[in-house]
Amino acid sequence: MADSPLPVELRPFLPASVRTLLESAATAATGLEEVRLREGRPLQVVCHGMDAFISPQGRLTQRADLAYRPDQAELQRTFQAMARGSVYAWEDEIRGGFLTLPGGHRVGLAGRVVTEEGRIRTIKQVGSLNLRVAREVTGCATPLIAQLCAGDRLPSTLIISPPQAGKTTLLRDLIRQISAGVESMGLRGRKVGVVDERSELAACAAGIPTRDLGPRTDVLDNCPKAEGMMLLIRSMSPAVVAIDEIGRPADAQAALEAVHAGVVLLATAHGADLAGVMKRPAMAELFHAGLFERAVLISRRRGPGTLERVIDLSGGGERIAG
Amino acid sequence: MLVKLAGSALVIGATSTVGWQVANLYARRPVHLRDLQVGLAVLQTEIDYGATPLPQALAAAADAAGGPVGEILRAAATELHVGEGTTAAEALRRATAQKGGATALVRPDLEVLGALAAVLGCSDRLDQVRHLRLAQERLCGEEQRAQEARSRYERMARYIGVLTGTALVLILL
Repeated sequence: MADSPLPVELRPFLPASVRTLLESAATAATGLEEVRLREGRPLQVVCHGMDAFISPQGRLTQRADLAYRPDQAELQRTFQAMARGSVYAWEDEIRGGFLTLPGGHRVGLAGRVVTEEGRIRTIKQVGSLNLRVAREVTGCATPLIAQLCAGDRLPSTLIISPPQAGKTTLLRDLIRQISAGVESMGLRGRKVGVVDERSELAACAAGIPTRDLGPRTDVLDNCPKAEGMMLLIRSMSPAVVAIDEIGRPADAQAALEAVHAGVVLLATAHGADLAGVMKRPAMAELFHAGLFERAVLISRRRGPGTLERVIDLSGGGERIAG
Repeated sequence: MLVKLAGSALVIGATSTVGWQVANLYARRPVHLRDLQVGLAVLQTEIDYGATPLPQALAAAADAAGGPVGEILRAAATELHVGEGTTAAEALRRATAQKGGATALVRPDLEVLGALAAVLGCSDRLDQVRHLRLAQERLCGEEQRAQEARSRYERMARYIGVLTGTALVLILL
């Protein structure tokens, strides 16, 4: 994982006080993964999977009582800036509990929820912001491709891990390499269609990816996965369709249709292990139908994106990753 | 004698100009209030039906409002567009401070904009529409008052300008 302090594109969104603290703590906080702002509560960062608080002097500390505490004005200003002054334009995203910033960085939201007929209408008073720093790690999928592909054949694959283990980063590099082709492994480049519902994979700005997803990749930005998969297949004739975080019944249904339409599917899912994912009702149907040929388990045992196991679901047993 | 005549003309000319300018302010205020209401109505439509992000919505509102009032909205749109990390409140307040002086709007009118700035872009569509309607209603009230003031004082300001000059000349002569 590339070490770097606070990414440039995130700076304008953070209040000056927090930005200064993060930058002064940045030398210690290399590999910044998360910044957590909670109103009136300690400012927290996560670096390399380890969390720490930041003191008003800009030092990392384990003592919450010594930490800097952002106030209501700072939190509201940050939220307004992250919504680009247009909270109403991101109603669906806020209802889903997140916003995506330029560069594919994602902000999780929590606070007071306003409900209407038992469903979330919006989050009104945002009390917690969790800024997740997106990383582009070129080449991180190479060991996985070596295990997945036998010559030019590419199996439909599900990447499984708990949150924050690097699924999205791995999928992004996998897409890039498949799109470009890997000559040394005899894998030719394929047309890839990406349904980027949360704008995390490609980090599109006005429909143009700002992350490198390879030369043969088309991206449907901000599009619901279920609709997007079929739209791509009809309009862009991809050989491979990639989606992040499959899980809803509608996604599963569309995934089945996609694979029956003859495309290879690359997807990710939250889960600690294969058995856990298989128990989820929507996913069970996919496994039952034999949709995925490989399941890849990753963890953060040796840093984010540690390849644990590649499981052959087409009946060929299991392989343990080096 | 010639100097006296020239001096008198200068004094009457100066006071008449002041009177004319004051009258002009009375005449332009209802027009600018009307323009601002048109701008906010377009902003409301952009937000309600298009969920258009604020920089673009404000630019559309600026086009519709036109004139010096449109310039306030355009400055806010530019500020939001260029300065990533700027909130809507900061952008509109700064734009009002910068461009408000070029309009005939007075403090109560600008206060309506200030109150709107505090909530603009901060909530969901339903809430934004409510605030925009309220702002338009308040501006409509100000417009009525401005019209009354115009019919009462516009002509009077012009007369007072000319008459003050004449009175001064008579006293000085």
